[in-house]
Amino acid sequence: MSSKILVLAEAREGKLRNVSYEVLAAARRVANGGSVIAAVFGSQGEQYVSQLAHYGADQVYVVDQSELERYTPDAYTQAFIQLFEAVKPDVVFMAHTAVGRDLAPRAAARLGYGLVSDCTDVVMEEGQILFTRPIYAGKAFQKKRVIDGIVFATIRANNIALGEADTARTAEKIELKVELKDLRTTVKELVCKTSGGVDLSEAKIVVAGGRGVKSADGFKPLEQLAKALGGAVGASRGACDAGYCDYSLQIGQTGKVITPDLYIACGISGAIQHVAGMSNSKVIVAINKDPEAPIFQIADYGIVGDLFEVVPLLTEEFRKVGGSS
Amino acid sequence: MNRNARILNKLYYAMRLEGGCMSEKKIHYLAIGDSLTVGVGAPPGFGFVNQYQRLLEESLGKEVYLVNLGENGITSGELLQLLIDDADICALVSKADIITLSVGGNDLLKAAKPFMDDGEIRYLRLSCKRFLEHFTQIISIINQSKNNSPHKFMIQVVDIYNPFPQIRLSGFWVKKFNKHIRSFEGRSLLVTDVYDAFLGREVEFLSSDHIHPNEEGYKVIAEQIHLLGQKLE
Amino acid sequence: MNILVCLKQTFDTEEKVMIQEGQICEEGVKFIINPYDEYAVEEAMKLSEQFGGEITVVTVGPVRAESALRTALAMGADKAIIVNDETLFGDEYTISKVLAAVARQIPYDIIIAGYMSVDSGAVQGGPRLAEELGIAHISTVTKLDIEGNQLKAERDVEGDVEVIYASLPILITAQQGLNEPRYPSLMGIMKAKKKPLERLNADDLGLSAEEVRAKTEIIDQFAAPKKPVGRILEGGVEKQVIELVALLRK
Repeated sequence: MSSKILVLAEAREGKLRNVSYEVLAAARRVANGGSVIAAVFGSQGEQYVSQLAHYGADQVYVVDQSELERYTPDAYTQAFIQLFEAVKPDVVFMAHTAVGRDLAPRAAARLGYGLVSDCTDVVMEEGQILFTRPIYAGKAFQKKRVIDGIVFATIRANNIALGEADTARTAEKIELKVELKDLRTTVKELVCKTSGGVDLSEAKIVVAGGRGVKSADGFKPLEQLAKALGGAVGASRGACDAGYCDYSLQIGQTGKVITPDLYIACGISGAIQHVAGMSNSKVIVAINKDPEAPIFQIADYGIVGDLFEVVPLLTEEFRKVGGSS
Repeated sequence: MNRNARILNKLYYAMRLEGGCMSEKKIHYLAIGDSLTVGVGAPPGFGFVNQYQRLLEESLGKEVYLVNLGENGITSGELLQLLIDDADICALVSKADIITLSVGGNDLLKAAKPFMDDGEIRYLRLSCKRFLEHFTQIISIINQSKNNSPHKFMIQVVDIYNPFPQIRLSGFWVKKFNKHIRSFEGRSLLVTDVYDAFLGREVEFLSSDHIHPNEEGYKVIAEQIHLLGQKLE
Repeated sequence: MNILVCLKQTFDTEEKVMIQEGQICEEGVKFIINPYDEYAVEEAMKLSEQFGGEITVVTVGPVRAESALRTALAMGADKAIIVNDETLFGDEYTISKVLAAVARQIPYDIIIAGYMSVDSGAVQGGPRLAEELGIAHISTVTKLDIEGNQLKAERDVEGDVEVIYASLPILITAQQGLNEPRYPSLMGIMKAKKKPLERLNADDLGLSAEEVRAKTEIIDQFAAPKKPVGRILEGGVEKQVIELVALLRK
């Protein structure tokens, strides 16, 4: 049974977000000989067509309208419904990002469908699509499937493996005009707190600081290490509350939930709320002066020591052996 | 019968008796808490609540009217929910001249299990944090009940002893909980020294389940509470 | 201003969670108001203190969820409604239809819910309910200002902050940082006893189990695989660092 799968891709600051490629990969897994159709809203959608093709799209719908520059529930829901009616897919996948979290349930409700959100795995089993998703703050998982209506799901970043880009692939570009009206909310202002560099929510390597960092300056050695590894900097709530860094770096149950390959926790004690945000990291390293710190209980490797001594040494060693694994 | 129904039964009984005799000479004693308040581990009538009641009647020469709302196994969160769910309990609180409170032991026991099984400390830490949140609210509600009351009152809190001194770090955690309890000491709230009284004498004072006190242990607790009252005079 | 607050009773996910045969063990589990819904109740209180009006809290769940409602009443809500009819339990699709049916029976100017529930973490409730009722929504709100019919909200978008303008009626979902929920006071507890707690079933809502039947199903639930115990490296700091890097490169 082959399927027609619609994937809504997302761009940020002129680039496609990495998670969009992952969602395409998930779509290809279950296409079963069918077609994968990507769509992108907002201007400059054109430039993304070839990249989307390389990662698995057979067709790319470009919906280029000014009201879609910035996400609002009404504009995006209306555009999506019209896209849906044009494509008539069997399956819809989106990324579980701020946009996906907000748009998917609203669109699913308008269409009268169920939705399996925040999936960390997607597989095809006996002709059915099965989803795995975390529950209870990542302490457990559940397997779900759709039993009525089309299959609609959002996929968490950093959990679906990406294949190699096939630069020989091409996709048909289709421009779609949608009618947008009665937009009930307006975005008057945007305060960007996330600085440039690697996007924390998608980073494969994260170096995070806790209260042990002791000051805003204390983050500098962590930034150096992150740079040497090509990773992003994060923080525990304690560090943010203490004013050592901005809340946009916060990792935890409230804050960002991430699944990097490598998570280095520096001066973080390991309170449950923080752990809920990173416990599914593939490898966890903890550096802390306190040998009884709870973080050591979930770390794969630990160094009991002063982070201000250890972190620079790590940076140096990584630079010496030339880059990350 | 579920927990709330049991407590309500005790309440209605208490209020009916109460309605019968409004003697000025009576002291109203309300006991709130867990299995220690119930008196598990000793024969009926020989938990600390009844022993304390007798000590009070002896030393004060007045009748002590007792309402025992002890509930086996209750944690600080559940006790708090009980206070929130039932305004009648709050009414009893405001009438009471003396209140004893024993809570926290079950929070510790629950959190200690993953520690003893797998060395998992995080549940103890969490439990400690939650206990402080709940205890703060419990004391706050009791204090608020007393705001408009004309008579003086006393909350006597039983601190927690360590039933497992042989387990590494157990003393550390029990003392942490007790530290939270003691941080509320003040003019109308006093805390016993049961932890110290039981230290080294667990064999003497614990019942055969090795967790609850026996009659002798409850006697020590009752005397400790009685000592607090005497500190005031 | 009439405010409807949707809340859910969950258990404390920070505590140890036991799963047996695909179900969570409820034995000895501590139930709480979903923390994000506490922000919702508190925000409703603040609005009601500012504008007057009535706060209704509603939940869909079994009898034990009534203590979550009573806590909300003790915090200051005026009325509580529980839909404890099991034929109306289901997935996010189901719940939103049931809540919408409740909402249609009472007047509301604004609906507030937590942005997600910590047990399922699905993050669907708010937007779905808004859609069922045909009203706008703003999610992950960290600041809310209302003047007359106009609303200005700040929302958290993966670290950035958006300032949104909209008007009532609207549904908003609460994110951490919106406010500090108050503790139930004694006054609140005493008053709560006299406040109405209504129990509704399918007939009361004019719904049939058929029309709200879940669209998704859970096939299995299992605990996260236990990680093998980690290693604390030994030796002098420099030696540890070299060892760590070597291990990580593998």
